[in-house]
Amino acid sequence: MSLLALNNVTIRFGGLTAVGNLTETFEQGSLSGIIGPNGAGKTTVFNLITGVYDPTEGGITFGGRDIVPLKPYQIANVGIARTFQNIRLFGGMTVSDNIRVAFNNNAKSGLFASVMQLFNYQREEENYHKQIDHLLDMFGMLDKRNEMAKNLNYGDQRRLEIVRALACKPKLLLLDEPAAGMNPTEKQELMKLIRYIRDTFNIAIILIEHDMKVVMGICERITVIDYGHKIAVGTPEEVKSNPKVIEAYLGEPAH
Amino acid sequence: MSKVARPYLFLLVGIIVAFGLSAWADGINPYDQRIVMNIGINMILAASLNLINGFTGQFSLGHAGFMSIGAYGAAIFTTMIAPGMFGEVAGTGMQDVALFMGLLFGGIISALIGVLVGIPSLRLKGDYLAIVTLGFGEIIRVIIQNIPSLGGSLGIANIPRYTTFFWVFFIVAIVVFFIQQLTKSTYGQGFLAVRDDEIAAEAMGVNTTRYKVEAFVIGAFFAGVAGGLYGHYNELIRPADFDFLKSVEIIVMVILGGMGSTYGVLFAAALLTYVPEFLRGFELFGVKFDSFRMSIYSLVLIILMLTRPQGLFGGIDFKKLMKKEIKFGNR
Ligand SMILES: Nc1ncnc2c1ncn2[C@@H]1O[C@H](COP(=O)(O)OP(=O)(O)OP(=O)(O)O)[C@@H](O)[C@H]1O
Ligand SMILES: [Mg+2]
Repeated sequence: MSLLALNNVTIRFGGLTAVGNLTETFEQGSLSGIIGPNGAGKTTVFNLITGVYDPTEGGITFGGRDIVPLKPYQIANVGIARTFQNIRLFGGMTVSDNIRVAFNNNAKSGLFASVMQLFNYQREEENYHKQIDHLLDMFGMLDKRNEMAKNLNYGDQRRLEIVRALACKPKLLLLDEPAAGMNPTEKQELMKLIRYIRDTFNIAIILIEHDMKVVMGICERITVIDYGHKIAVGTPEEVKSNPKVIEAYLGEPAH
Repeated sequence: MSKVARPYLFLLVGIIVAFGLSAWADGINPYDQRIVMNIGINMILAASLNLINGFTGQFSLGHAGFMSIGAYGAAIFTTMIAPGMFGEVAGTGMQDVALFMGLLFGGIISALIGVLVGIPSLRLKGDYLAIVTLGFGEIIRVIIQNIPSLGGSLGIANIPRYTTFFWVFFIVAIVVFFIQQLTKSTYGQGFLAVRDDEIAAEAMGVNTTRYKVEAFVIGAFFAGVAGGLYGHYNELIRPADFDFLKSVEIIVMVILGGMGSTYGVLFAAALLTYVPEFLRGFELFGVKFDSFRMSIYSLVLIILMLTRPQGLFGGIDFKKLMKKEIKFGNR
């Protein structure tokens, strides 16, 4: 059974069909890419998966379970974490607290136990901080743990968004243009990082990316969408030589 | 010292301070006493609104509405319900029990209404939510005004004076403890996440609905308790005491103190309660200051907002400051 399955998913905004009849599956532990020209509907696909939008038609299952009726936070709790094309950190919170938000769902200490510091509160908090430090250390950000997220440089902000998503302990990680605004060296590092994440955390990753070098370099399987419709799917080589894909991209001088 | 003990120690210190103030209360004149009392009550109001507006990022303009519900609820309890339960309590040790139960009664009713007011916050943001909560405050006021058994616009008079310095500052200590502990905990990070980015918070598994409603419920509860304290000090409550201007007054304390900074907000509550009283006595060119003190007050606020929009204490990390001091001292 596939980890994530989109079944004839369609969403219309007024007269605009942002995603039309999209059927696609993603496997456990796979590293896939979604590409397409600007406005093709890539981010909308992520928004559909994470419950920000409900599909007008069609179904989405995760681990065999229908997730369309779930609210975004419930979808996050069944194991889908994401980053955003326009970075959405909790700017007024520290790096460490940005990550701490992820433990919120599983925190056994509820409101009153937290206020009164009852039961295992203290041990739980220490445990979270250990996990946070471990994650930050893995991504070389331990020295920034007490900085305000909004004061981080761009690269660190993008990285923190990924760390924060990983702290949710997802089975599927959605990355929306993680390489945007990075220079070639940073992009190289990012590619390594994404592979490393997939291997160490053993999770599936879907990546939206405009940079062909990045996508072709790390994705095992790529889905191409144009005007909301899937026009091709396959290995990087297959996609690269697909005439429909070439046409879609040549028709868009921006690429 | 263990990490668990420290916050409780702070609470204990707060309670001791409340006792201390209580002992000192008899020695000061009634005018000053009233100011100190109002400072304490405003601290409770401002700190509790800070949870809604400062920590959770919801713009509520109806805090006086919650205060009035608590004030009326507590007054009804001590004047109508308590005598049936305990007989005559005034002057006996039972008056504190009656007050405590009255405050709880008023606070809980206010919290229940808080659920209702919290619900629009699930769909509305910013200015729209502000207008709805403002409307709520006014509706409460008009409803109370039109209930004859609550005294209409004349309000309820002859409420026993049960509120003491101890009760007021004891509850200030509790509110501060509660909010500080909550917003520092992992559970509490949910409130701040909602404030900073709701979509990201949901994507991280935070049930934003629950947090928003909880913020309103907790905020409303403590505002209700503050209302109960107010009524049992003032001995008289009228709908006009809890009008839109009262809500604005509390909001200004929160903004001036720095959204999300509990100690800043406490300080602002004290300052903004004291300064207008202080200015009252002044005279300039033979004109009593009293006639234009509110204008001066507004002017000071405008200047402050222009020069320090983040509030007096917003964005200051007290912990870091303290550490620096200590390091400096050790050198
Ligand atoms: N909430 C919305 N309401 C109306 N239209 C929307 C909404 N969200 C997306 N769209 C439209 O759907 C289309 C697809 O948008 P989407 O953001 O998914 O594109 P994208 O492939 O991510 O593009 P980019 O590469 O620029 O990020 C666009 O035409 C966009 O204007
Ligand atoms: Mg996009």
